Amino acid sequence: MENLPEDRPITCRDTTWLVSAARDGELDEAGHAALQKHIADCPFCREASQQFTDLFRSLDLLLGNDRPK
Amino acid sequence: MLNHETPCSLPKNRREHVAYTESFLPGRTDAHPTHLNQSLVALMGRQILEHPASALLAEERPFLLRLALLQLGRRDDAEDVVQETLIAAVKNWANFAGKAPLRAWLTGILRHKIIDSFRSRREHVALDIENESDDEIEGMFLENGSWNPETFVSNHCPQTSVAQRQLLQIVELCLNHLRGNSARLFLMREYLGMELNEVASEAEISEGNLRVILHRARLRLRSCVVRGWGEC
Ligand SMILES: [Zn+2]
Repeated sequence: MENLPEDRPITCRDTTWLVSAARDGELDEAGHAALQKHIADCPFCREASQQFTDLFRSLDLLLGNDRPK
Repeated sequence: MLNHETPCSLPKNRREHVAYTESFLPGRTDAHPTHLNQSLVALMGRQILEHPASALLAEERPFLLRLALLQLGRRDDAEDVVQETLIAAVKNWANFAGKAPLRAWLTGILRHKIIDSFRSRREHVALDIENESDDEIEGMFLENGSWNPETFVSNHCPQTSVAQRQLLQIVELCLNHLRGNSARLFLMREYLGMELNEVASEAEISEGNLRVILHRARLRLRSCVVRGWGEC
């Protein structure tokens, strides 16, 4: 993820960028780590992250995608 | 309004197709699931109606049409690819033999037809990526970048007691609420499986812009879908 802030902890809004990047297969290890770290401490993002996972699963079913992107 | 009693319209008659397509726009339901595309009957003869796949395919047709329409943006193109998909499905029915969910099989065929249609277009479809006002997305977050507790919806995807079909319908409805151009780009990525650089160059936008559009589309989709889960 090219835009991870270096001077501050990532925000909830940043994590949605990371989730989106992950969906496109573009999230590197540092990005994954930053995402997990934030999610561990933030109940909202924990919730939202699960919602995105469920949404993407439904989307794959709906669109007949048989492989994760 | 769709009149199922209208005489067969041949493929050359685009107006009939448009009227037919309009009956499947978001918010409508298909009141006649056994009705198969009349131009398909014209092409393959009435025996298509006796084909074991006929009713099943007719049931899936509105969904395929909406998907194609979202992607191609032109009704006549959408009609064409769906028709080709249904013909291919009938021809290959014996190979299918219920090995996968029907819809997944059909969307797979349709995907190839859409990509072909897409590539055979001489011109790029001009994508007007306007600077959308983003009140909806701005409202999701506080100024400091945290989720706004007042707008955050914490519904879970129902795990039991709700038919999977209903869950998928929610996603489909929400897809229809994405704005035209974002929906098209979103589906190029999510449905056609095109790489980011391919989508960006097809749409003649930067990859950075594309990431912004995909991110917004996903945020909007989540917001819509979680509200739908609350209705289940
Ligand atoms: Zn958070």
